[in-house]
Amino acid sequence: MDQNAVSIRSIDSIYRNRAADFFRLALARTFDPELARAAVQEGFARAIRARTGFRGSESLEAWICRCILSATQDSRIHVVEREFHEADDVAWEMETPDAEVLAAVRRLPARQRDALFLRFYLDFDYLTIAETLGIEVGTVSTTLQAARKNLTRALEEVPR
Amino acid sequence: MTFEDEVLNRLAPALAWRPDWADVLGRAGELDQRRLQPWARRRRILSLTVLAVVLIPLVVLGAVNEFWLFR
Repeated sequence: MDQNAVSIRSIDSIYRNRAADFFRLALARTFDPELARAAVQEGFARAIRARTGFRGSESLEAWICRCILSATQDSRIHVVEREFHEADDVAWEMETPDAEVLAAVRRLPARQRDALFLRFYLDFDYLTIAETLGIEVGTVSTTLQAARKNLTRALEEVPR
Repeated sequence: MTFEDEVLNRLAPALAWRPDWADVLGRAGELDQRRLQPWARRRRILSLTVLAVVLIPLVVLGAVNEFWLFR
């Protein structure tokens, strides 16, 4: 067996400690609690299935985070989960985000938005953000600054 | 709290998270394998029992007959 291969126990440990934070990240991307939950569950499942391919050149959290980000974009999850949860009686007590907030966030370039989310919801350091997004560490600071500036500008531009 | 923090908190508030590791394992296809494990264990126990049932009387029988098989 590959020496760098990650164990299910290591993934379980991250799930126990960080799944709630990953859930917020997924929620910020999907704006739907059920889909966000499904994306987190599916992301961790993908990490387990692909664990033998983990080479250890990046942090395990960054690798799992990429699995979750990928799951939030998977349209199959959206369809399946919507059907599955139609009869679900679990209600999430969440107010729909203001339209101007959604519009402002949607206006951000994808990389800036993700960098901002990783920093805010997961408290990732610059290295882990760079590993997750596949960018140079040196560009993370610039990306975050641009994201904050663009978000503030977008919120000012949204008609009230 | 900065304006930006407030916006991101409104976008994705800290909702109650319901962990479900069994669901993750099920989605990964690991749960089925783990469920199969008790069967594998039972099969091993059954094999050992059958072996013991055959071997022990043979040894006893051999001992009673002064191990005539090895003469």
